Amino acid sequence: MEENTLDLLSSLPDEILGRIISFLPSESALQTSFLSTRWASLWNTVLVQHGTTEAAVTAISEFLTHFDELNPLRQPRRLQYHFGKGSANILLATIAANNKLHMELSTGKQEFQKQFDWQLGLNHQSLTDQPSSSSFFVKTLFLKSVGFQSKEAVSSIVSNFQFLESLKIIECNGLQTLEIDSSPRLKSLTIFDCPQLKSLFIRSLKLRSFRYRGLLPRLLTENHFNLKDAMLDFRQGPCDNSFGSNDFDPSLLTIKNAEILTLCKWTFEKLIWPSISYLHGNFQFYRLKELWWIDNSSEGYNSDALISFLKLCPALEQLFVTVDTKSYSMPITTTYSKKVARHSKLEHLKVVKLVGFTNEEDELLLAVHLTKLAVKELLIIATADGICLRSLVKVHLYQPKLNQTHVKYTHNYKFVEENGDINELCVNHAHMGL
Amino acid sequence: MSSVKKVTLKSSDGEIFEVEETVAMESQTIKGLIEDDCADNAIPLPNVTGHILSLVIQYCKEHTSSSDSNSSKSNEKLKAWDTQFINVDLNVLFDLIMAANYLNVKGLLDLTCQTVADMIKEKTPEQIRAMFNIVNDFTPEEEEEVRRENAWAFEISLKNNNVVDTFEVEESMAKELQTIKNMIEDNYTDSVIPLHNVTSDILELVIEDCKKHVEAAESESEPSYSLASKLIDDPLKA
Repeated sequence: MEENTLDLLSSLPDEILGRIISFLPSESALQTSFLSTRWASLWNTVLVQHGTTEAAVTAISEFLTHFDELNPLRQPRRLQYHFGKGSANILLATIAANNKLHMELSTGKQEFQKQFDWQLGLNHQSLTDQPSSSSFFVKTLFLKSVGFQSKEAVSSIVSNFQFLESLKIIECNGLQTLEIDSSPRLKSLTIFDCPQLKSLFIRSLKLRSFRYRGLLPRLLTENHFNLKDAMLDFRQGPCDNSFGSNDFDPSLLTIKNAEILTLCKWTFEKLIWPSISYLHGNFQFYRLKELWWIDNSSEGYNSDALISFLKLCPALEQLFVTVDTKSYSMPITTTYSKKVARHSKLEHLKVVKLVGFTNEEDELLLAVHLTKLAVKELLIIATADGICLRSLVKVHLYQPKLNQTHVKYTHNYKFVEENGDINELCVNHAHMGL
Repeated sequence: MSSVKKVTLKSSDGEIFEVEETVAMESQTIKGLIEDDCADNAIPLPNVTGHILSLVIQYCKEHTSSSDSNSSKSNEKLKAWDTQFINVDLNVLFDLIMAANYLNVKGLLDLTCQTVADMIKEKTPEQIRAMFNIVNDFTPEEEEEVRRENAWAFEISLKNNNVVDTFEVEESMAKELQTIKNMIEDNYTDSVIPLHNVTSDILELVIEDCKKHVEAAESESEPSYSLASKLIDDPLKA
């Protein structure tokens, strides 16, 4: 048999490659676009259409109905719809497996995005209807760069998505206030990087996941819902300094039963602690298993806030602490009660990861403190840059020269370089890297 | 053999094959030619070599006889035969794909494509490239762009557990906490929900607290904020 050095696969005609891809499970199918430019071009056929703003809904509808999920290359998975004044607005819609749709808006030229308010109504969903198995329906929707000129068209399109369960709104410049009216089908809402957003109003009953990254807007919720997964990445600070813990309380109640949480230290200090401090630790985050705590490090590291919060998390299993020097920090210092709360030991804590500490001594102190709080044997990993890992080990040598004014346990521990694969040692928090 | 109708096929390298008509008709292309009366002489197949054509004919023979109602070949046996048949090296496999496409033998085309797909699935792009000698002709920027553009498509969305969080409230409490009452009423799929012990304690604290606030000051603005008042609706304050 002769050596095969030719790429016979790529030289097969498009229809045959399409047929092969139709036999691939959906996760693997799109991955073939990474193989080479020829494969990428298979996936990039774009259907270009021009039309009115009003006709956008029909255009998208038809585009979705024609898509064949079982044979994903048969019809284009991308639609470029030009609409609006001078056809300047472009909506690029892309379909992906597992009922996902990505819609990105652009206005051709770079112009200042006018500030706008947006009300997104998803409450026309009939709850008894089931999607028909033959046509494509949207379960997960990504909306990127919606602007004041395109919001009406997008609203009409979105209100047609009867079976929407997950909504992600990204990078909408100019978006000032956002009101979301949703029905019980919507389980997940993500809002990232909308720099002008000042006010967010959520009407939802069954939201289970809420992820936000950006300045903290005025948060208003009409109904109560129990989040399982909450990412409150407000490390840029609050939009409005007058937003206080009173205003935050309804949101606090929504995260109380979360299992996965991302929380900034300043949010805890300014918006949560004032409301619950008088309850003496009776307000607990019972279900919290995975916590990502975003800290800042102004004037030396102070772990009081973190420790106080940890005492409210009896079920915690994994803790990730990131020190972000650019993160907003509170000018006021809050005092924390030294009273021992009901659950002062972390019985389930197994893994801790410390990221971005600039001072190794602070890092070690915190690590040791956490070891004291835990019941089980802890795996503590520290890294400054995400690449070089160190893990905490006990040192059983007697070292008489050490300074005895430190906490007496310090001399028993140190961080040792790890050469293992980062993934093996410690999986990242679910919200990291989003 | 009795007078079974036969057709003659000629491969690109001049090999002659005499095949029963029914077998040859597994190829839609050949079937078309026969029906159009173009098959009196040998049918030339310039795109298929003798080696590959013989394999295709083997496949067609096996699959024609199984479509006979008298055939005892079960689906399982046929599948096993297919698996062994397709166990060929990559060059032959690709030639078979092209031949099956040209001759329009649907079963063989599906079989060969499925086989390639099975080799691809669950492998990383690097592994696939290695296996098939695919050259990565992306520039690093292009590659980064493709990954970034498609990242959203690979995100795992929140799993929709059918097990909803459950909370149980004593009826007296439930009535007071309008919000929770609404939740329960509107929970189509849920039955009554058991509340964690400590949460009950807090709820009691909350209700007590709220009652105090309600009794103490109707119009007086509260200097110390109570969580309870946010949870409990207006009817209670009245």
